[in-house]
Amino acid sequence: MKKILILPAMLVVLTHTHAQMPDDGFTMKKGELCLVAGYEQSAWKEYWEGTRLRQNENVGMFTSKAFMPMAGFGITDKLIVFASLPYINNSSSAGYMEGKKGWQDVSASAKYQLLQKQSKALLFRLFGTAGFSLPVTHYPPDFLPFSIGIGSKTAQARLIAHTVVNNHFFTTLQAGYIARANIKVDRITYYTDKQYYSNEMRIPDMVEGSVQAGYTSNRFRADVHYRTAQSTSGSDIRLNDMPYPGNKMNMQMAGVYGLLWVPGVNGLGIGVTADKVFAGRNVGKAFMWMADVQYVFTPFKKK
Amino acid sequence: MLLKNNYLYSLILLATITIIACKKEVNERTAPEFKATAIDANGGDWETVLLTNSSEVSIPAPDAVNSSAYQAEMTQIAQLQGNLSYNDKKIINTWKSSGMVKWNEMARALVAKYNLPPEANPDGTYPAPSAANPGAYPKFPFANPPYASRAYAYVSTALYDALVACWKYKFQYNRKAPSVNDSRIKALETLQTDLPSYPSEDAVVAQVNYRLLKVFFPLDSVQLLQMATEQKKAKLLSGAASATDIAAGDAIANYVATKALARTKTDGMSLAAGNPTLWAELESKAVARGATTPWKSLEIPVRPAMLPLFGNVKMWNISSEQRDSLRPPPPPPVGSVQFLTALNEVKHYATHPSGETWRIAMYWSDGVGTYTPPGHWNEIACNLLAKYPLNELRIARMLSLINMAMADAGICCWDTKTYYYYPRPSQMDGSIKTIGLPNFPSYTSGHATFSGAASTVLGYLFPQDQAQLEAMAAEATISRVYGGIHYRFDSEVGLACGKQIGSFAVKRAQADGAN
Repeated sequence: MKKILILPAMLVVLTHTHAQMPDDGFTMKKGELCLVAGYEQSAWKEYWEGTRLRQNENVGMFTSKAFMPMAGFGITDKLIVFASLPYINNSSSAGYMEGKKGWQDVSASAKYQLLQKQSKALLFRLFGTAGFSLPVTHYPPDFLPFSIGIGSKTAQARLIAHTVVNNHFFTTLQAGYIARANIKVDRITYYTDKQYYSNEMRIPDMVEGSVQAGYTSNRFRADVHYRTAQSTSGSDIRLNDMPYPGNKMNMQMAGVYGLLWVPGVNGLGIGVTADKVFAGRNVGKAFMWMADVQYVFTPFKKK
Repeated sequence: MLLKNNYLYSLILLATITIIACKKEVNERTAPEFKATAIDANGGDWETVLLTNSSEVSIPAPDAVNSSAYQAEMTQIAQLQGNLSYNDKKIINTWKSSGMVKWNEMARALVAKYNLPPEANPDGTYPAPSAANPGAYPKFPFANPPYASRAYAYVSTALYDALVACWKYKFQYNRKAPSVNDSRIKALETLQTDLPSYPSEDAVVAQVNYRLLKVFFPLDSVQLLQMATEQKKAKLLSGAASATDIAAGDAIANYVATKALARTKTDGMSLAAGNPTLWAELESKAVARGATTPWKSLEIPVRPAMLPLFGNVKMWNISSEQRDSLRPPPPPPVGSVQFLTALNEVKHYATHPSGETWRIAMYWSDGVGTYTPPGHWNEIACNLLAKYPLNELRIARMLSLINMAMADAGICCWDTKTYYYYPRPSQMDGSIKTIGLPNFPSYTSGHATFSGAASTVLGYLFPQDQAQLEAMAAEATISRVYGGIHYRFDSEVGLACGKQIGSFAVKRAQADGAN
């Protein structure tokens, strides 16, 4: 039974694409606070065991649900800081493996506008983002796919190039590197590509990138996007084995996003995202959707 | 502006430092370094298991130290030492500590490598690995706990017998190591200089492991041969053994290996998997004995129980009559108050795992893709050597005693499982989720039985650590209740039975002449 797969919650979290996120091209004004409450659900029936796409009747449908509170704050017109902390609940429709739930990793990051060029109808901005994440609870990382995360401390840096034409049509290119620290597991030895006599497990770093194209106005925003995440090392899940946190987890996904600024309530927005993983390695072939409510306001206005 | 930029630059700097500081190498625990130990000059008199006694193998007297043949050997070693390559130095370093431990780790790595259950066929049946065609899927073997316990027992017991014979001739002929006998030859590793080197104990260890492991894990025979060859070469280069020391070690190893392998053909393992007719028969026999709710596989598609006739395999220290008398009494009837209490306890842990109960369940889980619970106890035993260094013969004795006890424990436990065919907690309450549900009957716990047997033997061998070893066995035992896969009575009864099985190995140890 068992021997499963994952879409590690870690990767799920990376897929969010609402306004004013660490990895998008939008800005906030000095003093503005953006509060987001999101709910995300991802599910898969098939997963890649190495490069082989398969099902597992002893998992059935694997479902990951996440509640995603997040906040962004404009320190200046050019510098935004973010923090988020998801709560995750993983379960499967078949089999007898215990589901896992709990608060996952707190992440914090800063996005700084490095460059802005405007010429007639064309606006170009370049941002740099740096951030980190660390687990807030002692959740077990070595029980994938049910583990709510990988349990690794991470540091990340990314560049974002954002172009707007005629104030409305935009494209965003984004690329980042996520360094992930080794973790400690509850086992004293484990076998992956060989037997390791250690409770320390190597977690691959990741390279991440995305392309977005869409339309934005002061009433709504919509985009289509493509996203990729690739491990820089790691080994495959062996045939009919369990996955483990050090697997080489790669994925490519595509999706759509829509955000509606609620008429009559200044700063209140409702966003919806849908994504499909269409290629991968050691991850679930997931469909995921997310809905969020966000509210942007200026709490500390000088009188 | 400058100040604000500094925030960002600080963050980028911090991220960069963190990225650079994240070293990726995994720190592995190291094998114990060489320490001088008692040499056990009477080791050749110890009771053997597979051999009648150590004289069963005959090894001719070696050439005298002052003979021209031996001198020629010495000259050759001296020349080799004068011309060591990088790789030569590397293998000397690799093999300088206990070869016994190194090979035991190798055996465990192979078990972990092959401990993967076969995937179902499209028609819902399951393929079985074939020793005759080991490379076809599913690859041979499926090194599950019964298979692993048996392999560990054969390998370590053949090693023990071969080393007893090796010790006999070492002290009968008393020819020391090249680096002791000839001033031209340096000792390139720390040697126990008072231990004669004819026959070479390292050759015995290398050759026995190679001969047996390649039968248990045929797909890795090339790598195994390379390891064995390398170990022997390392000892020649380091001044620990001459070519004739190594050849004499090989001769002992080959004799004992052949004898051990003959036993594998007749111990009943080939019948342990059974067939659909036998499986139905086993279930109906259990029902006739009073099983009201016989065990069912909860896997999809339904998978046959793991080696249900493993309980009939020939044991090491126990006769089949003794096995029957050791078989625990029936478990509480399904539906009884005692049963319901135990089921509720499992459900409690499964639905309210604390950090600590989960940690314990994971620590001892030793499931798919691992070296199994017997492998875990080999790890515990080898780690004790850091505290209590032993010579290769005594390491072999320790490993043989615990692995014979665990193989017997596995056999007795599987006999009990098949005899009662008792349902797992999840079969009785589908809401009980687990750390991974084993596909065979519940009563009694294999983990508990293995752990009771191993901890009893190790507690006898290392009395200062007895209490701690018993505590470990108790934790391994309860871990299965925490993990949602065993009733407390499965575990407690299994542990008690395992201890009794272990005591048979202790009796052997008390009488084998090593005390």
